[in-house]
Amino acid sequence: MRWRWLSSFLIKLADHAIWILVKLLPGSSLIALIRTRPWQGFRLNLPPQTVALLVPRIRSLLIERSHQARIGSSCLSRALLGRILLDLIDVPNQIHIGMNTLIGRGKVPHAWLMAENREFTPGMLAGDGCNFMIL
Amino acid sequence: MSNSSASDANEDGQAKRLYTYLQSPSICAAELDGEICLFNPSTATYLNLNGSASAIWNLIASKTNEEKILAALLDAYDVDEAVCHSEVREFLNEALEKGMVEVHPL
Repeated sequence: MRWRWLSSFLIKLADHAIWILVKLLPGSSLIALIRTRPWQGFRLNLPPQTVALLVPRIRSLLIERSHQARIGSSCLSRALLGRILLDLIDVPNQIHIGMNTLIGRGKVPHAWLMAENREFTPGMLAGDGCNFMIL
Repeated sequence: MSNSSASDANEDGQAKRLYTYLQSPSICAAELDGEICLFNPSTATYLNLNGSASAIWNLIASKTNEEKILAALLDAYDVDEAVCHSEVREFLNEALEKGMVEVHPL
């Protein structure tokens, strides 16, 4: 229980820090950062059983954060946070960039994270969006 | 018409013929609700096109000058020429600014 509370708090903190980074960086630098993944130099060499244990926990924390976050977070900050965490434990992942149609808000840009053929942050609503590219 | 406005109109007419516009090849485009959404991956900028802008986007899939774009739109839609011209200019300016469109001299 304590582990869950602490990790949830750390995820919120990291997400908020990345959100600030996303707000501050110009778009071109942001895309370059997502593509080049400079954090890969800090990759942890964990045994496969530890990675297998961590992946569902990371997914669960990201999904929880996605449902709770209202201020100081965005779909891109959460997807980027997930990418950093998964890269650190050497799990291949893809950030999808697209456009969603939301009731009352019209067309809204959207980013989401996929790994192991599953969504790690909420993706496109069925039939209400388009996918531009995968990074 | 004064001399200066006549020469402006002449220059404008020449510009319509002298430059061609083309979709930038690096742009990701997708259709959503019958309208086109554009994304420039090098600058992370989006552009949501309305119906007329979507039509212009489709027209510049191959190199086309402004005169031909106007003619095609006036032919396809029941629209005032001045309104059509201003919409074409507005779209081309915004798309050029966001790097969605390339301009080439003839």
